[in-house]
Amino acid sequence: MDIVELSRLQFAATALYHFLFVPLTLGLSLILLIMETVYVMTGRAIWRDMVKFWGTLFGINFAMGVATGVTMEFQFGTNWAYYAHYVGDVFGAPLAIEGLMAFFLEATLVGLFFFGWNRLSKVGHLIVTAGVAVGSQFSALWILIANGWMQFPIGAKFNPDTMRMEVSDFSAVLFNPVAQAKFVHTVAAGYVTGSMFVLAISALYLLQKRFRPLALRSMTVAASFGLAGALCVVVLGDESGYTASENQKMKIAAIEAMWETEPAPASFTLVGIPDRAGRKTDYAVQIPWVLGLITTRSIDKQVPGINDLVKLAQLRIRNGLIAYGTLARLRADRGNADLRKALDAHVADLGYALLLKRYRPDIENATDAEIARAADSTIPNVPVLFWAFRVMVACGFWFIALFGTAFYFSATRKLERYRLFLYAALFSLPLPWLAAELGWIVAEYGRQPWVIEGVLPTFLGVSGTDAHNVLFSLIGFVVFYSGLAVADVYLMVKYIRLGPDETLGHPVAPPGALAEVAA
Amino acid sequence: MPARHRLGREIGALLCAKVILLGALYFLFFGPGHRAPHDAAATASHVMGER
Repeated sequence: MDIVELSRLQFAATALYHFLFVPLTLGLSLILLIMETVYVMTGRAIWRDMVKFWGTLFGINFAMGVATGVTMEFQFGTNWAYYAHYVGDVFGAPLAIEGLMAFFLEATLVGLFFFGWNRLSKVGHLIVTAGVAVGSQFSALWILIANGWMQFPIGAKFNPDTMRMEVSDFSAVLFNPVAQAKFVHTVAAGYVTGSMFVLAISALYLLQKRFRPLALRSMTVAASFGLAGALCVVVLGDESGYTASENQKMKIAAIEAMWETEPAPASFTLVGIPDRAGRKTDYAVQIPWVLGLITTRSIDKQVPGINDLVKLAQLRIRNGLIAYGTLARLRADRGNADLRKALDAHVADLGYALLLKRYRPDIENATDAEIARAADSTIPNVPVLFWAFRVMVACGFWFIALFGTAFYFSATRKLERYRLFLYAALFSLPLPWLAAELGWIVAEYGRQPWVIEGVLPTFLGVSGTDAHNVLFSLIGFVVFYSGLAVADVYLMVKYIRLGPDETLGHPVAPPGALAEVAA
Repeated sequence: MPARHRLGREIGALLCAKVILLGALYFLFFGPGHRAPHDAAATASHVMGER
């Protein structure tokens, strides 16, 4: 493996591992806030104990999330130095704010959350818990503003003197529609994850006939919050897909394995076997109109297919070569205003010309065959995207069904009646994580071959370091993260097995609580 | 030994260990000797092949 593949593998491994902890933090922090609000409003001690018990599990997860997130920020400097230079002026600000939010705001408030129970008033502690929840969401917002810019780089301009992208409109970066859509979709996925965590463990307790008062109340919170989250994640996922269809047409075409442009409105391929070599989808089961309606929200707009987008990429590469030649001349004659004007006219396609760097260093002499190869390289891995997206969506609809059922059983006080439902809740525990990881694969693997869509090819972003260094640190990460995984699973299982009574050191169900729940 | 003093010593020892580990990481992997220049000139050379 070369340095590009190793650097990508290292970032993918650490990002996917880190994202095991993020959604649970996002969801569980708000669930804790809901539970503590009920405690403050009703004064019932069991709700405080629920916050403390689920808060213990939240704490284990939070610590792991912070520990695994730090390494990624370092990787921008160690493995992606050219990327850091090329886009650091834009990408650096939201990333830095995210770091400050995560480390200073969240860490301080999490400390107060755990150690402030006997030192703060009820309302004071509730404000701290609200701060933890809001801080987590803000942390996600900033990282998704940074990520959204990688998908849709607006509010920035290439500076030929500094050889990097520089912010021209920070509000455009901040209110990037892709970032906003990704943020609400991602945090909603976090709410589903947190709800599923509480629902599944509560279902386990009910199956074991342990900690019934806590489990029933927890399930009620998880059912309602989870249903709202599951509905949001599907609706907002649709919005995220719509924004992608505006500026990442190749990603959408790859997700749908749509090789040829169809007459509007395009049909949706429910299942099929995408064939990359033959550029066709075998055994496709299609639903007429649906793709066109979802991605264009109209019946007369076309969804471009992969083959047409490749032809467009060829045109953009040729246009980018004009920008590249102009840039080379401008670098030699910095004061030439005509060259600057000419560069501005073609600079939007400069990144496309840089795709040719994979095939030859003197890209101005690229042959037609090399241009065709570079254009083909804009096609991401279609089968992986096609199936990752479908499994993620299937999980999303399952969450609506499961939380809808849980909500109905909670409203009619039948949560304990059907063991099949409790088993379904328990065994659905891994699914939100599966969906979240697949979502990131669709978003990030689907962006390839770009590290910044249309601006900088991934292979040009890596550092000029030795591949052995990256391999060494990759092995280090795998060993270290495996150790963390063992510690995390051990601690989670330990406290779930112990249950709230032993974790908190006293029975959580005060006398009369059982009767109160049954009533 | 009072619990408070023991806690203080433990925290002090941990902080020392942390400083040593971070220092070692810096000198082994992040010190000036390990850094390659990634400025405008380096990027121009990387992207444009400028010498």
